[in-house]
Amino acid sequence: MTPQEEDRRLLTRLRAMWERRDPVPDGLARSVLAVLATEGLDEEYAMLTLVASTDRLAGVRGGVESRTLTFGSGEVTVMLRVSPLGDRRRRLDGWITPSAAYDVRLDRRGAAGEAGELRTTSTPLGRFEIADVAAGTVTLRLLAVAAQVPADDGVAPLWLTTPPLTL
Amino acid sequence: METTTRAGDAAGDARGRAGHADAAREVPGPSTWDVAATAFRSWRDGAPGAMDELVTAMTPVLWHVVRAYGLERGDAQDVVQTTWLTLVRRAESIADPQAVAAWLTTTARREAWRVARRRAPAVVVTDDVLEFFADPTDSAEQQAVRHDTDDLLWRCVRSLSERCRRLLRVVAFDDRPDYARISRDLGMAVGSIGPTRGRCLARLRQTLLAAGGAP
Repeated sequence: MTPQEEDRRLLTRLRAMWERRDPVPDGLARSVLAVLATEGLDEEYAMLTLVASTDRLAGVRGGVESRTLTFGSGEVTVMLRVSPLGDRRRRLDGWITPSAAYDVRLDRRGAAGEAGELRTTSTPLGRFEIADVAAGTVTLRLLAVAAQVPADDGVAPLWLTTPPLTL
Repeated sequence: METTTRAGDAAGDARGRAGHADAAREVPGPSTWDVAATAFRSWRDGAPGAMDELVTAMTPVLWHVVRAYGLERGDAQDVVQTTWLTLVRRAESIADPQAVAAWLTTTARREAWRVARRRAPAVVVTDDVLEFFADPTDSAEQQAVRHDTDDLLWRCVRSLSERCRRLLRVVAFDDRPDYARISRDLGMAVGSIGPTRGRCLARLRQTLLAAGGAP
């Protein structure tokens, strides 16, 4: 066997090993196809805009008990309740209508300290929660879970994203 | 599955010129690269189902290329999806359909690199914390044999430098790697990729021999 063939054989073994060690997630190709099917070839993000913001006050002391933000884009509405936990921590509760399972990402790119992104998934009823997050500026992104999107449905938007908001 | 490097690599790899050796390959037939090119052409011509074929052929390759950059599985899935969206959006700008697979892996690598740099170091995992998933279709006996040889190979791969591991994983899944791009990502000179790959493979072979495995 030539050294070239030996190299090729070893690379083939490596390839097989990685395929078994770290397999492609089930359904990745299918979910790619579902996302491509919903791709309108124009915008990657549908921007959610702030529709309403209301504060609920905590009794006689007058502090803010929670704030409810409502975002909308086309047919989708996202309601977000931000509750202070003290020590600059926040709890988030969200409701997405029409109800469906979404991948939910809270992107903290701009925030110091806790970097990166928090992830969760909404229930099929469109409910999600992030129990504890530092105060700061974030954007919320929602991606329709692929399994929920019929492969031949060209309607649903891809990513929904809010403008930056301060928790 | 083929892992053939063709003549025409950026580094002018001599392996592809061993033309007569191709006849002895275990799995003849069109390479993933050719399947991808044909499917991409059909898709641009409006053939139904051609995108399915392209995605099915190339998603596994993209997965492993992206994972070679140390992204955790969730990020890697995002990168793979972004890569496909970029393809669909920029399809018109791909002048040479034959090169679509190279275009995809290059785009995936670029995006993976971008995400990896943006991540806090704590989020970037190395291969050695990956879980092992057995192939459910194998018999227990096949699995046992395979685990042993896999485990040995795995241990030996882990003993290599990170640069070797990454380079070998990329070239193992990339039929025609873009050496210019890889060299930038890995901080290596273009001309050194071919020799480095040779050295990494040689080191792996030595380690395997020393551990009593097949070289």
